[in-house]
Amino acid sequence: MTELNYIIRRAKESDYAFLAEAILKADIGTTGTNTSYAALFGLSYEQARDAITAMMPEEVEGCEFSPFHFLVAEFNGEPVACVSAWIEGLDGVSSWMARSALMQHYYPKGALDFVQSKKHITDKMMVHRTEGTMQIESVFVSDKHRGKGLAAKLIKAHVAKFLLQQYPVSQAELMTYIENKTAIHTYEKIGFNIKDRTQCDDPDVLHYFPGTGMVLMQTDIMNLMKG
Amino acid sequence: MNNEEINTKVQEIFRDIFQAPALIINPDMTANDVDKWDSLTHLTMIAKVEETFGFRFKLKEMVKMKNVGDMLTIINEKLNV
Repeated sequence: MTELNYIIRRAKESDYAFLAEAILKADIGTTGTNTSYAALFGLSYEQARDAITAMMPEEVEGCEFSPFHFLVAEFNGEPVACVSAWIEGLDGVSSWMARSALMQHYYPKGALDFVQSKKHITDKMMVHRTEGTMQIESVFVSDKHRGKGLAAKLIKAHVAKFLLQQYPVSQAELMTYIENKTAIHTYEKIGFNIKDRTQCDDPDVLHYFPGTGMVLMQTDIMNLMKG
Repeated sequence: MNNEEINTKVQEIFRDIFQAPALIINPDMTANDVDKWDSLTHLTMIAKVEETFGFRFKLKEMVKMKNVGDMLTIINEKLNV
C-alpha cells in the first residue's frame, strides 16, 4: 500500500453508508465505547447509523451530515478514510441548527424526548464552534490504513479547496474528547492549540458520550498546509 | 391569523421555552441573542411552534431560518396560503 494507491476525491452517493459509519466511529474514537449520536438519543448504533444514512441525500449544508462536505480517500475502489469540513454559519445558519433540523426529521420522536432528559449532561459537555471558522469533523481512517498520514492529507486537501475557492476563512477548528490524548497530541503537532475545554462530573456521562469532556482546538489554516 | 397574532403567540412560546418572561422578540433576533436558546431548547421550541399553529415545518424551511423574522415569515406563509 504505497501513497500512490490512494485517490482523494469528493464523496459520492455510493459512499453514504460509509460516511454514516465514519461519523459514528470518529465520534467513538480510539478511547470511547459508545457514540453520542446513538446513546444520547436512546438509540442503538444501528438505528443512528441508518437514520444518518437516510439524511445524506438531503444534502443539507453546514453540518457533518452533508456528504457535500466530505473528502474521501479511496483504495482499490473502496472508501477507506474521510474528513468533513465546512465554514461555520456561512449562510447564517449554525451547524447545530442544521443538525437539529435533520435529526428532527430522521430520528424517531422518542429519541428527541430522550435527549431532552439528558440536558443536564449536554450543558456541561458542549463547546461552541466559532462562526466563520473552518470546521473539521468526522476524521476517520479505517484500521488497515492508519499510520499513512491519510487524515492529514485529507485535511490539507480541504484547506487547498477552500483557498482555491477563496472562502473568507483564516482559522480552522475541531473538537475531540479529552480522553483522546493521542488525537489531541497529533492535532497539536500539526499546529492546533486548545481554545476551550469542558469536563462533566456527572457519574452517568460515559453512558451517553465517549468521553467525560470535550476540547475545542484552533489553528491558522495556513499551518495545515505545511509539511 | 394576522402578523400581530402570530408574533404574540411566538413570543409567548419563546418566553416559556427560553425561560425569559420579559423577552420581546424582533425579526433580527438569533440564537446568539437569547441565553437559553441552544440545540436542545431549539428542538423544543420548534415542536411547540408546530403544535401551536398546527403544521410541521419542512426540512428545507427549518434550514433556511436564520433569525426570528425568517421563522415568522414561514409561519405566515404556511397559515395564509
